[in-house]
Amino acid sequence: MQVSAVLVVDDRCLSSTASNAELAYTGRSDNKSRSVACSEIFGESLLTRTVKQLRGAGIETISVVGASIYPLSKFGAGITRVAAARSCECWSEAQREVLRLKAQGSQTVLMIGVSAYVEWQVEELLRFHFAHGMPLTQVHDAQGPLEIWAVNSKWFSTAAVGCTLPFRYGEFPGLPVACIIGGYVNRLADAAGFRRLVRDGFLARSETRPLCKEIRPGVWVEDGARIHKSARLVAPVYIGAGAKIGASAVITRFSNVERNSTVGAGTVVDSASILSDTELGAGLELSGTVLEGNMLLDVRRNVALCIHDPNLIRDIGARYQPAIPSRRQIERSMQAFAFSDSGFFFRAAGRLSEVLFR
Amino acid sequence: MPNCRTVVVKELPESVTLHHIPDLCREIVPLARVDWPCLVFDFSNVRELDRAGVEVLLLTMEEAVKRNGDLKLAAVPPQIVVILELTRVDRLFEIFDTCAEAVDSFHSFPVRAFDKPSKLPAASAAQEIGLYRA
Repeated sequence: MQVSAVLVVDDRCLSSTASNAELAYTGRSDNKSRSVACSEIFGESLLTRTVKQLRGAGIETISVVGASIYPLSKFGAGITRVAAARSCECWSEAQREVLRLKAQGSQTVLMIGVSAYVEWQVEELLRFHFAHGMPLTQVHDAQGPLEIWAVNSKWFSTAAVGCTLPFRYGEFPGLPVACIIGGYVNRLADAAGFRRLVRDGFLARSETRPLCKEIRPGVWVEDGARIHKSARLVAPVYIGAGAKIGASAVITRFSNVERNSTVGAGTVVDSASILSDTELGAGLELSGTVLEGNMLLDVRRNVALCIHDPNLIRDIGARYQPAIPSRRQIERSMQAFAFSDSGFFFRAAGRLSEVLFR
Repeated sequence: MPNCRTVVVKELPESVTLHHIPDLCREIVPLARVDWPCLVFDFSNVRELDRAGVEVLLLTMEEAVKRNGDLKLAAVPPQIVVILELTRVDRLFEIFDTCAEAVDSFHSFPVRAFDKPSKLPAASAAQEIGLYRA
């Protein structure tokens, strides 16, 4: 029996779930790899993990449908990329892709919306699907349905032509059949959900545990990461490949600094996630947040904030790079105060650090 | 102690960023360079704040404190609080929900220490307050 898979990746970002999402979106950096599916956790994105899992289960024909280009270089061979004109057209493209796979001889197609982290067994779903003999099976957890379906391609090309995807209950009588799973599920509905997944990974509650070298108990550092000798890493933390941690920086309490990110000198990162290609300035304090490019998501307040000041936060993966104002420019703009040295900001931050971390 | 002085409420523009700082400084500096300046910055319209803006707040605070005054912030939107926390200056300022509360805080006696129930007997606590006021 030939089984193939269609992965649907939309452009949903974590910042789109914030209470002020519309306001925050103005001025957001144009970086397509910022969708939830492509956000890396411990060096691997949701999309990469899903592809790896399908490959592990012996499924070789995989199609990725999305409106953007996703980094899947490691799995290049055997993966068909289908570009949708817009994010909302992904599912209709997926529909066409299922028909194409059917024409190639696939009898069963797994349709997966890559937007939540789900620990499930491909073999278990297929066994359930074949045992029930119904054309459509959907994976459920205790909270309800998940965007994973096993579809009989023959039925799809005849009875289900013209249906709207993703599949909904009531469209076909008695379908889809629910396959209940008991594994770890995180819907990644907001930044708090993302932070929970990181935390659960560190605590080994999920299978997202870092797989790189553990230089000290609870401190994982990927090859190529550069950490200043005066920086402090307090377990559990993860530092991704190519990340740079500046002098006297403190990374602590379930924080993860992903690939190619930079943490400036003296900055404190506490219970926060810095996603890949993000630069965090010097002398800052980041607590209970998720940083994705130039977007800052405060987990406690559920607000997203687009920061245009590259001295604070910068998306180093974006095509457009705003110019960093020099110290001289800032000083010139404050000449009304007639200060020869306007380093008060750094002095104040330094004094506070001394008091707090004595 | 800045008490019973004229409190100046300054409504800040939508963007308190590098490009808007020169204009803002021209308005703020005369306010901060008086004796006992009591300043309240109304943040209700502010949507954008950068490092230069934070630095202006700190410089204004420094100027005010040098002249025995104070600077308080009012109606700060959550996204601006996030910036203040990020730059670690949130703990240097008193932040109030409304301008009225911030203005009242200048006029009222600083009795925050007495808000909590005192462990001393009532009479001795009253005596202490009397002594302090005297």
